[in-house]
Amino acid sequence: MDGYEKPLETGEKDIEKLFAMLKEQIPVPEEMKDAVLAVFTYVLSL
Amino acid sequence: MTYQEKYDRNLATIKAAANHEKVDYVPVVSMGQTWAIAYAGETADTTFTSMEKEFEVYAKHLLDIDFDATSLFGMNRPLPMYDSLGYSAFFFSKDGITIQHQDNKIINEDEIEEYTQNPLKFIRNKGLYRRYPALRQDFPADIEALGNALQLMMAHGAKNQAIPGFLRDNVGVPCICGDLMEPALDRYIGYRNFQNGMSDLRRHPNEVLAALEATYPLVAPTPMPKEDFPWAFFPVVTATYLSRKMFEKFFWPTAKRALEGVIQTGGKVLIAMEGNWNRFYDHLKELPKGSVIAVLESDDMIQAKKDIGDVVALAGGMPVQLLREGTRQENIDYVKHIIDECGREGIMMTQSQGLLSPGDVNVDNLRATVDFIHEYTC
Repeated sequence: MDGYEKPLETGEKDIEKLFAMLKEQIPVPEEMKDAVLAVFTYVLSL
Repeated sequence: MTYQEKYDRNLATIKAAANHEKVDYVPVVSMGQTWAIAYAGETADTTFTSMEKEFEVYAKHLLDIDFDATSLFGMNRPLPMYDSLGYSAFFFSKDGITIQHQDNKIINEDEIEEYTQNPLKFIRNKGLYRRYPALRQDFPADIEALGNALQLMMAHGAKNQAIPGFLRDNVGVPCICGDLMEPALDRYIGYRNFQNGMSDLRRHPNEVLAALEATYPLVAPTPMPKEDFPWAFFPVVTATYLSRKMFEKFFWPTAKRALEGVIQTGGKVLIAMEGNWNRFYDHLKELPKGSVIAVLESDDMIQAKKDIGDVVALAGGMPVQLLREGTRQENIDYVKHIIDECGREGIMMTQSQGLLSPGDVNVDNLRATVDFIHEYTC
């Protein structure tokens, strides 16, 4: 949470930090979490 | 014959066609997408109420018309996920049936280098932030929205996992496309929007090449071993707009790497070749025989069979315009000529485009043509 509310230099929000927080919560094996979130990011970007 | 027996027979036939092996009949593949909703007398609102209803609606045309396989089944985009985040680029037109997509941009011209340095970070902090109103909410509403969206994406994945079993037990028709893959160039141009992205190829060629290498890991196949069915689905929009020189510079290097990544791990790829590809045919012959199924939109199937048919299995031969506007006999004569010239091995017959809208084809023509193909090639 530390630093989360602080805006980026651009004035935009650090969504990467949200992904880092989500990583703690998702119910998949630790070694798969980055891959799952990369796929999630890709699907969100379509 | 039970649905399971019919499914197994159709699966064996479609796999034999992809492998250039002898077949008992030339298989016919449905390209029915949201058109299937209209065929069933439904709308998007009445279809996407549950997985069971969605499957029932999309199955109707496969039960009524004697297709041997389908290219897709159900909605292939996780629309509830996009809706939950306030994103409306995917939407249904006024008819309440036809899915549409609004072109949009997440990389500005002066941000190409920043994207290239760290695509995931750029997409998250700039692309997703700008695109999704739900992520601009205060904490904790933003993280809750993101977590909910992840659950909806995983629910979409679970639905996709249920499709093969449903089709085997209730319809008898396999779905030939599995995981979606995109060419790196198509994804980059998607991020820039079509007009800007195509202009970049001439205005910023070196930046684009670097961006394509940075994009490749997002679209690359996993290194895990793959089954030879269903096939990876590789739709290509950009190539038809490229000269041969630009194809070789911007498209083919990363596309070939992705295709070989699937093939070398045991998979096959269905390339949906939008537009015309005949000036690139020699590159497709760089891939192993039987590893690729090419769906033709505007290419001459008879010429394609002569030029690449010894290596690439071909799907096509049923122009949507003829199915919509021609007579029954004109459609039958057309497919008969295709089959007479192409032979019965290494081909499957399918419509030249995905069927999206209620009036895309004359259903009587479609049914008569499918029946004729079976009777003629048995």
